Amino acid sequence: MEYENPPIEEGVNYSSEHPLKEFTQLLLGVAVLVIITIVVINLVIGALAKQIPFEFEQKMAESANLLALISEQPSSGGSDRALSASELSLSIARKQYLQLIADKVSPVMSLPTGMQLTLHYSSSDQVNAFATLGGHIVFFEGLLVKLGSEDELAAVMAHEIAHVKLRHPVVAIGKGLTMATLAASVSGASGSSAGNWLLSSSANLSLLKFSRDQEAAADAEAAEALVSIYGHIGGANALFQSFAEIEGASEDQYIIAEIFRSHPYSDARWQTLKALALQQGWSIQGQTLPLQLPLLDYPTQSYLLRPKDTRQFGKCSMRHLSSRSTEFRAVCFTDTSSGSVIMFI
Amino acid sequence: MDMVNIIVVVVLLALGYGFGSYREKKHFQSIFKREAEMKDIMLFDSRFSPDPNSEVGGQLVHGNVVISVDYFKSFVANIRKLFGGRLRSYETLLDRGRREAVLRMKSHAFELGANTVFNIKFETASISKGASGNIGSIEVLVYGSAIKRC
Repeated sequence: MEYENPPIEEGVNYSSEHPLKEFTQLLLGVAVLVIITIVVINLVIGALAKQIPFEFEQKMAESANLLALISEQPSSGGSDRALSASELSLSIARKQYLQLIADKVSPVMSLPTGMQLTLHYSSSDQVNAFATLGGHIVFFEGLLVKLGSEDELAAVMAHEIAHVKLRHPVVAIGKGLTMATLAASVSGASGSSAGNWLLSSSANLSLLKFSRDQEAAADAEAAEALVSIYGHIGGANALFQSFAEIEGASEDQYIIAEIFRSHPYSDARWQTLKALALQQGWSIQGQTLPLQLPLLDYPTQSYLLRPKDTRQFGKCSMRHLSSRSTEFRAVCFTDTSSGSVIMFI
Repeated sequence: MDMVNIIVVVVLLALGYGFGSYREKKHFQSIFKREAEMKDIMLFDSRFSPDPNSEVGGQLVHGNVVISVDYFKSFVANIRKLFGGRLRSYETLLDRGRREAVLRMKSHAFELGANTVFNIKFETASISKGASGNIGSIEVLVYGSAIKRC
């Protein structure tokens, strides 16, 4: 009997298709899946997170040890350096001033009952301010010294209060936690450790990413508040202009990065706001109030006092209270905004 | 995932794709050439000899091969698991494995002076058994009984 083993046709048992074609198709497929997942999660979490009671949010902020986080903010002066007495008093005075502005702004923003705002001041030179969990709002010295008027400060304040009012921090945290859990379950780490990481990482709490829509909503709320306090949105106008100047003129990449990482798209935001003002008939310019930011005007003079000495300099009175030490040095500086003289020894 | 991890993955993918494609191309060329050379050695899957009066009387011959998958192939296969469908990246690997094993068996038979192998059997095994972190490799074993038909 005659037998034959004919050659088997090529390309039947394997595909001669280019491997990169399949690779590209699969990557696109994964990208589509990821995008769909993110969009669905954003929609669902965005709707659900707002239902979390504000007290829970405050407890979350407590457990995350927010105050420690703020003092951890990097400062060009060296963060490990202890605050001197004068700096401490300045930061208290500035915090009080911030609270004053917040008390002026918040009544017109009709916050829900039980929603408390806590103002924080950080002497870091970051040009930034942010709102985070539990109604905590942090202002950095770097931003405050760049503001030209009370209206501008009120514009920032109203914007951050609007974030709190609209529950943006808890929505952002909710989305972040869900994403971290999802990523962790895909990559194999346990979900709870991802959550711990997210909540404990200070970078995540101070740089909560708000979406473009959230920023626009906060801008609109803030503008409405500005109009009812000052009668115009000149503060927001000046603010966005100085942002544009910082963006255009500054060579300091660090400053740009900080302000625009948490509050990007400043030009587009101003255009949106201007259109809204036009539609609502708001004036975009007007009389602004001066910024009464407490300043450190030191040292005017340094005095040597002997025990039991008392000296009078205008409103500033110095007295050596201790009888034990032989002499001490006093630094006297004036608070230019209130005209009062503050002294530290 | 930080930047370093991403760079490592991209480099591994490029290496896997570059070397993997080159090796595969070379291997297929070699397979085509040797298959043509050894086409006269006939293969039968019947359990009984096609020629009971053969000179060489039914000696066991075998061919064995182990081939490793490259990073690119396993990466593509891992994504493929999400969607299902033809695992094209592993098909060429298994095809190469079987044909190489058959060729090795044929050359074994040729050395014995046989021109026919009957009752041939294939066995395929995964060396890494799908353990995570291991790069997969396969073993293909072919064996049969060699005879010399007149």
